[in-house]
Amino acid sequence: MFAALVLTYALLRTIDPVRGVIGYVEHGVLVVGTHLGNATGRLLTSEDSLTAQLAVCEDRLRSAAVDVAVCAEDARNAHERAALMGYVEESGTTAIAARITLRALPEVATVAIDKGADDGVAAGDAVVVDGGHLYGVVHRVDAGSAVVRLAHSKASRIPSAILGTARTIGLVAGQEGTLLNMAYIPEDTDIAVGSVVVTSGLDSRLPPNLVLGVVTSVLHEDAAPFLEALIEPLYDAREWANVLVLSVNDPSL
Amino acid sequence: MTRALLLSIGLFISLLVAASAVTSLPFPFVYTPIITITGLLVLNRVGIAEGAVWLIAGGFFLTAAGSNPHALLENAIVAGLGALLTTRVFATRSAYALLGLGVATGVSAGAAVLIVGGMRNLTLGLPLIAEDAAARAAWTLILLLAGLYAGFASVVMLRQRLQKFFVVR
Repeated sequence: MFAALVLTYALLRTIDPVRGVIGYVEHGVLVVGTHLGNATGRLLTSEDSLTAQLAVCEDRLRSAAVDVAVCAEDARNAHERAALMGYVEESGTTAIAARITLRALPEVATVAIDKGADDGVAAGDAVVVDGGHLYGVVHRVDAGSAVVRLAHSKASRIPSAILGTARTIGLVAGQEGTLLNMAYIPEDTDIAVGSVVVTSGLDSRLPPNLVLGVVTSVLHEDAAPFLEALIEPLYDAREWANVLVLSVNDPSL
Repeated sequence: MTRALLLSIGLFISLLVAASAVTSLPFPFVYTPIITITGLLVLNRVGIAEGAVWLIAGGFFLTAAGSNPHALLENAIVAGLGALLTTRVFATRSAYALLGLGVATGVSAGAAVLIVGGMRNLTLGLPLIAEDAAARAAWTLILLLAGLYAGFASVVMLRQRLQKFFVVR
């Protein structure tokens, strides 16, 4: 009888309305787990580690303040020029809000969201959090749900550039843990610790200038033709329970 | 019928916690094997058939959902070995029998996952970070035993409370 009920549950999950309700409940449990995980993480972090993290954040805040001033000036100039030209840009991108319903183990590095093909999500779409940080890329799509491969997954490969440049300078891939590795950087590239790494837009489904992270070290070996850099994301993937899927409205893709 | 319904609800709640809540926790708690813990408790306290169905169904759902690709393999080994050991070795309902079951099945399942990882490394060239894999297996075993003991204590306490409340002497 128990086995029969389990089989019934498995069959019910294939029905869209039932799956929607189950997804809603899963998201609620995931939010509870996320809050618990954040609290546990804070309890387990040592004072020395917190002090070091605070010092790093203060340094970044100081350099970010300078960048903000420069960007504000650039934004004002761009706005004025656009207004003078009377130019209206259609981005061709649709934003779809989605809830995370399931997280895989850290070594799998995927999450499931409650939006799928029926909602306009397609494989290869960018998934962002916090107004422009790349969270992952849609890997597999079903009718009412999708699986997102996180940016720090070992299987993820993202063409990237340094903020402020248009040229693709490297390929960002995940490695053990949450750090990212940027490979195939030409030796003449002006890259330094603290540089902000963004998507380059070379992959037509990934919009440009989505933030991947900050360069923490640049590796150069004498015999190697390219540089490598380690990149630290500016967010913790476990802290987010809601994401935005950026779906490109280009039927040729 | 009532027992089957309660077991089904219990399995559903365990799957929710395993796939949506536990995976949001930091290391090492993210590797807490909720389905294995609850499945062994059901196997020890309720029955072998119910426990086996719980473990295999839970492992199947976790693997199919992509939450843990090794869940089906681990739980199938736990179910098979657990059923055998419960009838031959750990036949009592004591905490020692439950912990013994946990050690035997946990070590076997962990070893199987490491062997599969090693075979994938040899045949497909997929990376295997031995230290990380061994650390994950060790933490999974520790959390399994801790969860079994906590579950056993909770079940015994709940049973006593319910008996005290409902049974009129």
